[in-house]
Amino acid sequence: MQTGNWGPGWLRRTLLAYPGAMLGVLFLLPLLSLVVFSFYTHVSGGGLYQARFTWANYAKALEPFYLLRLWFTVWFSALTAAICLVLAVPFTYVVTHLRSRALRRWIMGLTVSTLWLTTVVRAFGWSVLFSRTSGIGKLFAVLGLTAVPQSYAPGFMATLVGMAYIYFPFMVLSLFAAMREMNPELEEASMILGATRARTFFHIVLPLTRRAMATGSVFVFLLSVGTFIIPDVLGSPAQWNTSVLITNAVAYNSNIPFGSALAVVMAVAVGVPLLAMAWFMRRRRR
Amino acid sequence: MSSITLQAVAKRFGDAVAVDGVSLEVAQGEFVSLLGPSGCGKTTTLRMIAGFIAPSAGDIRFDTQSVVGLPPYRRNIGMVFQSLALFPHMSVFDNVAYGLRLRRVTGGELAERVQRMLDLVQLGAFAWRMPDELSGGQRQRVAFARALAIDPKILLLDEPFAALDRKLREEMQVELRRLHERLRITTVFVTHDQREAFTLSDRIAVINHGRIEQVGTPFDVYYRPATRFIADFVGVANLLPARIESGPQASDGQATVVLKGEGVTLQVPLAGREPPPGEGYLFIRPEFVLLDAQAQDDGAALTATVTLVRFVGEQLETRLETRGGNRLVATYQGAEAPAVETGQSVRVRLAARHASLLT
Repeated sequence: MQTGNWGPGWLRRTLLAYPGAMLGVLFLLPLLSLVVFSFYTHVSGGGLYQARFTWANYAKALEPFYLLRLWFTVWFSALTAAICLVLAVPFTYVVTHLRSRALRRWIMGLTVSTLWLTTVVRAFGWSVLFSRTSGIGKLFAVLGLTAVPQSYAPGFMATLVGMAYIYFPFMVLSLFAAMREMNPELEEASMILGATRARTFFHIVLPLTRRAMATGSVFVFLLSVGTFIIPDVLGSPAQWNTSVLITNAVAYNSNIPFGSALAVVMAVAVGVPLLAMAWFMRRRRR
Repeated sequence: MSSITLQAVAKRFGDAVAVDGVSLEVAQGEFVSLLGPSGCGKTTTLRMIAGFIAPSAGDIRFDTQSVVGLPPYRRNIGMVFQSLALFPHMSVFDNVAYGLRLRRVTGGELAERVQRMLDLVQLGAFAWRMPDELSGGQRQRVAFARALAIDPKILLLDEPFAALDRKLREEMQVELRRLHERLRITTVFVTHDQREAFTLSDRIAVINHGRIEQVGTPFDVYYRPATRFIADFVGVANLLPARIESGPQASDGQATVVLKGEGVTLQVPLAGREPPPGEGYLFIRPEFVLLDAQAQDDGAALTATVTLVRFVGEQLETRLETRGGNRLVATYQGAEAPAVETGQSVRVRLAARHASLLT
């Protein structure tokens, strides 16, 4: 098929303006305004902000309390991604190796359909399950794991379970295509050469889906960094991440400049290592 | 080396019968092809020998031992796949070493055995290349080296040349033939390409609708096909409706055959598996259909009209329609072809000693 031959030059240039405009409107402009606002001066007492330059927002955003929350945000999101990965890899492997196409579709359909209920609804659902009077607390008490029913929400475990639950489908989706497209003869070749299924999984399947695992992990990590609903609903202040703090600053204290500064600090703290990682992976592939 | 015995092997997928009672013996060191159209069950049969799928019925034995229920990783089989299935994240060396490492071969011995295999397929200098840095033919050789490195008792080949262009494919066929003559490893080869099967095989099993229709040497299968399907599948077949009369000549090993609507009677040699007297077909390959412009109407020649003359490289092909409404194809070495043209009426002789009878 010939490419680049589907229209006159002016048409092609005009059409190219569309992705350009989308990128500008949806990404560059908001980012720019975020940076600009982060240097504005907050006016307390409902006045919102003044277009007067100040470092004060950054001075506050870099205070130990906020840096500690940022550190928590990063490792908690990384933990979420790791848990999703560890759960999703065997899950996706089993689903993609099902003989029955109908069953495969049903399982994938159900997995994805959990996204249909909004995060808020599902987070509140978990908070009920984790409460003292219903669900998990009672179950643990009946099983004898605890003497009396305990409440697990808000708390660390509830938040972590909620996060892993919400982002699990995203990890599965990232892995599914890679595992589905992998030539099944590769696994057969490994087995006829003398490798058991388990060995084949570790020597062939895992190395060949490494890229999808990396993509899925980054995907889930970034979604976790950005969520404020789950830590807010299922966590106590000890599980609040920077996104919750930004929400608090902007929505409850009307302090848009400080919220912007927090967002910029978070973007840099998360973005720089990710870019470094991407650069490193590219170099290694050469 | 092992022999392979398939005994009434069947495979059903739900209601669909993929393999319907296949029995076949492959002797030690023999090269047998499973030849048939796509979907005939030949690949399913191969995959049952490999152990990727279990037969629904019947028995598979290597030498005298049944392997039903034995997982593929314990069968000691070398296999080359249609996609070759080289591990893309491993070097040529690591691909070939994979099976040896699983057999706990290490260090100097590993390096030596991998190198010997790579030398065997003339890739000694390519050990540290990655598969995507090789040409199609080189990848093919790596796949063979990897399959043979483990000293398999049996070699299974699943259309391994499918991805190659015609010239390279023929080169690889010759190389494989040489390799087999040298190693004499029991080999089962799956293909839908009859020329490939002819060049490589000691014997060919022609499969259709999950059943073996004939097992025989390439020569047998080509010139003495057991069924009309085989006659047609393994080459160009001329099939003429005929009445088989075992006349007084039957005792001298020949049958008298009357070609319907042609006014021609022929003596066809019997090979022992002809249909009984009655309705049937006379089968003859195009190279034994002879055009004869000068022939007299002596009761042995057909009258036909030329409908097409076509130059196909090494041969000249002539298509004919006989007076009785049968279509015939005749081929000649290009230089020996009689000068005929479309629309011309010609006399056609059938070299009856090369013909056979089918139901």
